[in-house]
Amino acid sequence: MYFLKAALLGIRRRLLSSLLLVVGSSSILLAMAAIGLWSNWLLQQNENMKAHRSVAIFVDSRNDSDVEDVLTKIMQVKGVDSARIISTEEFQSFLSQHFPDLAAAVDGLGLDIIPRSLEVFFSKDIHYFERLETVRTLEGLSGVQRVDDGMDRMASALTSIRWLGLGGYFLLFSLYGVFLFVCVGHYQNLLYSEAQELSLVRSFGATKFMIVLPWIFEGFFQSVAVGLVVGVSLLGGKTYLLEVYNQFFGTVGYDPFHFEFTNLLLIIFASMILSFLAHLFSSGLALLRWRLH
Amino acid sequence: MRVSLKQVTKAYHQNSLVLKNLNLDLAEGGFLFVAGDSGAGKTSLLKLIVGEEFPTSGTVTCGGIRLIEGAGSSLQIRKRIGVVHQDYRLMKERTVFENVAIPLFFGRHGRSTKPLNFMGSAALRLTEEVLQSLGLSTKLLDAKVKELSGGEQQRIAIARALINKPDLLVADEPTGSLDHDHTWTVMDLFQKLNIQGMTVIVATHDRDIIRKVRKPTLHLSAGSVRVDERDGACIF
Repeated sequence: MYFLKAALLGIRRRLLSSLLLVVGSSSILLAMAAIGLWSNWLLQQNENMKAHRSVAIFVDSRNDSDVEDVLTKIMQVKGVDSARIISTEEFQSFLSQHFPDLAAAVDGLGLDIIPRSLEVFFSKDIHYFERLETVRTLEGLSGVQRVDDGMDRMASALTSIRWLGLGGYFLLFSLYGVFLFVCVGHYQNLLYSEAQELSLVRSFGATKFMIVLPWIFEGFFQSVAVGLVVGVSLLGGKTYLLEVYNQFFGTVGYDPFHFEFTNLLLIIFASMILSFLAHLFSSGLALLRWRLH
Repeated sequence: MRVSLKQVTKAYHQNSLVLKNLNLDLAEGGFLFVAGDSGAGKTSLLKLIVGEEFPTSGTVTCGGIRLIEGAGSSLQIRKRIGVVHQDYRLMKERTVFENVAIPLFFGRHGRSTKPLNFMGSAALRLTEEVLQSLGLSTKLLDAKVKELSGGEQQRIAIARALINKPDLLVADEPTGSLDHDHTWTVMDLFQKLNIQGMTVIVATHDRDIIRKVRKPTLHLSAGSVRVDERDGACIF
């Protein structure tokens, strides 16, 4: 009871610095949550792109039975999940949509000029090198004129996304380092400002644990406040920013950014835990560095 | 609690020798005055006895336990010692009750090995009792220490040192801010507690008190020692 009262008294006495610490901590943890979510989403996009990637295969014959024959052979290749024949009308429509400037010219093409093609999807758990091997096998099939792999373009896009995502995680850890630094500074100041009272308590036989316990309670209360501030801020962000964000990224073909309620609870809980761990570490470190008699 | 110092030397800097080869053996239940001019080393000696400072050389033993820096046993001994600091060392933003009762929580009460419930009625009762024994009103319990006079603050510091019925009381100038009547209320209380078995060490430069109480006195002067032994309780 004494420790609890001492903690509450401490917060009241240092109300301004406590508030500043909560605001500062919340800002850092909020940034961490946003970066973490974004990095996670980017890496998920990376995985999705890999999993759903397909290749186009052009067949050297225009005969339906030949195309069917190639399809049968393709389905037997290891690493292929599914394949479908692309009709010439669909191909023409695709060209018109993606190259609107050439729409008139494309419309003028006769259907007999357009090559017959198939779209092949890989298995979801396929490895990068396995996919390369599968592409080589597809290229060697009789009746296959050309495999439009686009590997180089895709590989560079995937690498960029992966580095962005990993960079986000690095930033996340760096921010936590900053947060720890702020916390250590806070407890160092606390130690100097309350040195006399701590010496006094020590002179009554208080152990180091007894001295640090009110700080631990104080850190707990502040961590709860930090978690709530982060939660409210994220909820606000979800309400006002998510739609705008998805509108933008939706136009460039990314999956929508989903932010579930369970994720929100998880982030609030994680913020509290991370904040509390920082308080524990910092208060313990401050006390260890202080030479107590 | 028996207090022994053997060949104790204390120097804060190379050229500032405060105590030199001091030997002291105060038996359990003894009473000792430590006298001397300002800067003679009275406070340093008391700090060595309570384990707030440690000797440059020599040994300090309290209750049969040698005080060693950082040792857990030194921490245990502190729970059995009541200290009145010269500068009171009160928590001025806190109430009288919080200041006086705090050793009950961190330390112990009398022979009990367990701390008292700080918020319990027993702590309140003990606080009221010790305040009354020092001539302080129990109405002050909820007052903040910073609102009290110097004399009241000094008696609050004494009350805090006495509340857990320590085996050893170490008081540094405990009557410096008190008027004549309150000075003798405090000294009478110290003598009464000493008769009940508490070992008492009082640092003072008030010759009137030393003359009237008639207890062994250790005179410190620039590191040297002169002993005025009156009742044999103290052996040097």
